[in-house]
Amino acid sequence: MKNWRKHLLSPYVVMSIAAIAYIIKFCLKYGVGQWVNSPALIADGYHNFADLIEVGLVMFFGIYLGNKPRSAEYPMGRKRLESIIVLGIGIALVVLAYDTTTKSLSGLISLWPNLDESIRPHLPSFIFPPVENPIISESAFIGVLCAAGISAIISMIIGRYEIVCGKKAGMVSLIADGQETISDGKIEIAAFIGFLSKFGLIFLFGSTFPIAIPIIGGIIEYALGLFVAYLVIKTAWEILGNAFHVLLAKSIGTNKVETIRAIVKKIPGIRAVTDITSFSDGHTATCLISVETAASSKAHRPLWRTIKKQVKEYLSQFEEFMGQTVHVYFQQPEYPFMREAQALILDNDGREMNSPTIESATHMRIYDMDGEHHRLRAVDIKIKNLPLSEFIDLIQYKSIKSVFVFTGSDEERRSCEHVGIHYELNTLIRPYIHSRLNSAHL
Amino acid sequence: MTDFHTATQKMLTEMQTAIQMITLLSIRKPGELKYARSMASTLNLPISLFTGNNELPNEAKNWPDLSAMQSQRLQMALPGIQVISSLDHLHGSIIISNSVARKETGGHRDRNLIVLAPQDESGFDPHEKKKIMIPFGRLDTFLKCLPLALAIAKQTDSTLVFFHTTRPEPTCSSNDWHDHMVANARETESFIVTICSELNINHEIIITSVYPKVIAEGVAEAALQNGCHLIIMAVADEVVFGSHTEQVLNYSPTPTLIVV
Repeated sequence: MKNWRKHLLSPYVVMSIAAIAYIIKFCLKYGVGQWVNSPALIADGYHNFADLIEVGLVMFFGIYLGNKPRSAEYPMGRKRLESIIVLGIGIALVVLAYDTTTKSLSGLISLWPNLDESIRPHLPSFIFPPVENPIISESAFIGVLCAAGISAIISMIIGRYEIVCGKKAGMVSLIADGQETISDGKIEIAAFIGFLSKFGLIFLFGSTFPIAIPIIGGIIEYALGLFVAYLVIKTAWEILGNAFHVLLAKSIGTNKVETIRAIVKKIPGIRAVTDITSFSDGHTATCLISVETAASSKAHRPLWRTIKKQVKEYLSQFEEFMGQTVHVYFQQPEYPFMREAQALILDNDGREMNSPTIESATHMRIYDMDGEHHRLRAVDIKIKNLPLSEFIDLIQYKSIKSVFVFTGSDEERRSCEHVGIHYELNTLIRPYIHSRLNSAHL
Repeated sequence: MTDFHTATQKMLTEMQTAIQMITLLSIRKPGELKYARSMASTLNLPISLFTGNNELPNEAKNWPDLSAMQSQRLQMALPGIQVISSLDHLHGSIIISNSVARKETGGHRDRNLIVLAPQDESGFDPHEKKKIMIPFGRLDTFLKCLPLALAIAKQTDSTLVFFHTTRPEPTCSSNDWHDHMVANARETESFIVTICSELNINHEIIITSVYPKVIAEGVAEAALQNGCHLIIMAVADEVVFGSHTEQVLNYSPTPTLIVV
């Protein structure tokens, strides 16, 4: 049972069933069109034949080529081919809506012969097509009605089936084709109702009200045509919009991106989210996330998996994203190199104290620092009895940017600041912690 | 059951005296000071900063007030932080330091310290429900850190997430990782259930297999994915080289508290 369901949801099976449905519709419309000698029905049959070709295009470009795995030549895959197909389907729907609109408007105006005569000669036939008013027998009426009704039912069922399977498989071309088939179905329903109202009323009351009945039937038929054209153009707008969003790699939305930023920022070890580039590739949301972390390289893998999992969980809440792809890039914080010196009084027994001034110091402790006062290394240099001028030369030679003392002196401050070195008062001695633990015999 | 009862009573006594202070041995990174402040306010504990023994060097005898002046200025610079010159109280206090944590798990472990490596985090979010992960395996190692974990959980109203990773047992065909656990780990699990229900502490138990990943990586990942704010681990006494705790420090960006 499960296997059957799996097979029925396969895109190739769906498109094959859709192709069979189009063949049935073509045969039905073409055959009945020939029988009642209706060019409109024959043309609609050819439209279904064009749909059959479209199914072939969707199968080859959308399903076969579009689903080929990523390669060195196509690092992002060929999924966007589907969007080109979708674009084509959208354009086809616009043409269909245009055709329905012009025919319905032309038909509607033809109900008032005086108005029709004043407009028709001034407009070309592609804007104002000629109106066909077939005069058909009762048996032909039943035939046409059956052809329109069966086609409408087939279109609605197949369209729905394509959309469901397309959503399951995450294939936009399949969904778009389903939407187009449903639009066809709506037109066929409109034609069915229009035909039924027009000829049904004629057969029932035509002899009693010979002038009013054809006008009422015509108004119902063409007004329905205009309404369906509006529905079709709405669908086309949606389909074209989606295709353009994919082809132009539109972001998944500022709010969603900001939520993702907040989710990622909250994960321990992430200092900042430096960049999020997002776009939807068909029904797959893709996020390229760059994060800044000071965590060790070993921590990158757990972080990478956690970011991916949490972002995917968030995106899976949205119906429009049937798939999620998340790429994470790690950046180490950039540390501007800095060197500081501290004047200290040290003795041979390991006792140490901040020196009030440079003059009173026995040693200078030099720290290599990163931008966050994180000491990278420290070294003690003996400076006892070193004249101030030589001390200044030494710290300039060592590229030291700041000197710390406990109380300070004006002369030392002037000398340091004269050569662009900060002279600051400091309270804490910053020795190696380990030496402290060891000295405390812990 | 009697054993459990005795152990629980012992645990309760140990819990009450588990920690009394947060200690900074130095302010190596501003983040460590921030974390210490946040931890102290969450656990309602004082912070102390060790400034050395304050004995004047021979060369500084001309400035007899120097030591007092230094302490005074420190108090002004770091309000609310107690300046200490002796490390006698270090047992029973949490040392906040990434570097000490790394050193103490890697080398000789005869110091009996509690060290918290804040990693790159700056503290607990006071508005967030806290989760603390405790990886467990053998009961004896686990018992070293449990009183501390219970004390912190009780104080902060946190949920304890007990995490165990097991290797797939070749003779066991079950898909439930619980069935692959070794006897020692099962014993620990029963102990957890008993003690947490007796002390009325919220807890979750996660039994999984991180195989073929490194265990420490699995622990780090589980802590991140379960939204844990702290990992508490003990270093096994007989491990001489390459403990899981040492590895967790390298793999995990989540702050990790270690009982050495």
